[in-house]
Amino acid sequence: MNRHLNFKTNGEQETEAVGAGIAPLLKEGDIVCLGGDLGAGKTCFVRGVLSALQENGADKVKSPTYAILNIYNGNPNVYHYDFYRIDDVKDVYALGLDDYWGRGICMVEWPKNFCYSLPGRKIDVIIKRISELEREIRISWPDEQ
Amino acid sequence: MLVLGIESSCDETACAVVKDGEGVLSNVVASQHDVHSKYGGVVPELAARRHLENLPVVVSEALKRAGVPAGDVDLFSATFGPGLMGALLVGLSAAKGMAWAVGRPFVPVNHLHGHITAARLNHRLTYPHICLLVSGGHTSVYRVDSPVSFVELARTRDDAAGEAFDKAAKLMGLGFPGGPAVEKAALKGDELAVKFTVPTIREKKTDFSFSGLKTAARLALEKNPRVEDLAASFQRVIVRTLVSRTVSIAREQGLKQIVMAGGVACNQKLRGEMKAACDGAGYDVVWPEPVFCTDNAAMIAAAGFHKFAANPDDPAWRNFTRVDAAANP
Repeated sequence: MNRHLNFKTNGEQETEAVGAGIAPLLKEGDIVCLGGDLGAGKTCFVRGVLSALQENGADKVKSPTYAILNIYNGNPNVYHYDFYRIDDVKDVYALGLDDYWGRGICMVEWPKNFCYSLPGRKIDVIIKRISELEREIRISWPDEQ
Repeated sequence: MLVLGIESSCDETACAVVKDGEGVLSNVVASQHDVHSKYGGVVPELAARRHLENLPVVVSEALKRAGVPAGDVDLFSATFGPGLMGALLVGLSAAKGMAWAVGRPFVPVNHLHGHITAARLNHRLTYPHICLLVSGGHTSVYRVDSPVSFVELARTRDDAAGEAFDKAAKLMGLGFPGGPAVEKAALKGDELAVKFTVPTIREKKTDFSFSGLKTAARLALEKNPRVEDLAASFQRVIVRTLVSRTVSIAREQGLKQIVMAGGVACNQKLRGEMKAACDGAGYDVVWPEPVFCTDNAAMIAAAGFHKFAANPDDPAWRNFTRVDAAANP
């Protein structure tokens, strides 16, 4: 069974605030899979999470599209992935991207199917664009028995 | 002094041999077709990332083209970061291993320092100068005080300029890589057709923010403009932002030379506008040849040379076995 939370936001600041709001629920080993189109606000959501988890955390967040992985050191460490350009899990291993799974909080933009076969609790965040500024954010995570 | 450099921080596996920090004897990049043909065809993009497979081919090709046996290399250098740990370790370990095997010093190089040094391969630079580093992964302005020291004065708060081009190209259906695709389409477009704005960061007016342009481009597309007009307008706002903020930083710092670096520095519109702005202000502007703008190893060999030359007796260059890769140096 999964649990769900739904939010409606209006503007980047509110999307960040939702990220900051759910940050305390995250624990090391979690993999947060962030879905949503180009410009939906995935990086913005991560910025919100970082602002709550690390001192000056929001300033550290940049888009990981080119780097594929940005590392934000703190307590806990946050690993910010972007699998936009990665289609095959073999490339994940070839690039050593699996080194950090389970060692901090992983946040993955453009998650691929293989992400769901990795160890760790998966939390889905789907950001849907309603209008220029409005977003619907749906967060789901497995129910702990 | 003959320097062999290796670059493997992200997509490219590259090796170069450079004499005295400026004479490029060879510059081999794995994604180039002539290296791929050794595998019997063009290797797909993802396979090209497999640095471990590419590296031996690239290194022996670089030595062969330079006409330099490995034993004649005086100094080895490689990128130690920033980048992907798995990718960095391949080039770094290979360069350290070669240096160890032939008993020569080794200098680790920061990838960004490599880009900042690239223009020196073709140009005489004055220090200090201003460097705009603009690529798929980075958009920053530095004050470069000497060939080995630089200070970041402005940076992007979110997406890099090259990434903005790629994502806009995807929205417009123009293909990858997006920079050249947008540039080509823009040639036939009206750059005043669509109005775009780039926000100013309240706390630091010279910083960049390009992520909002994705949404703006999507909204503009809903009105069905000519793709060429959209591309031209999109390119215009990015170019104008880069030019105006870089020139205003140069003015603040009282420096009269602007150096461009990184893949986006190949963009003709950016070169033209930067040149015009610098001509108007009485500044000098230079940029590297295109092959030294995108990721390459000649810039790593050059930066390695300058680091060594600045402090040739540093024991670190001889005791390098513990030098490690760093994802975020």
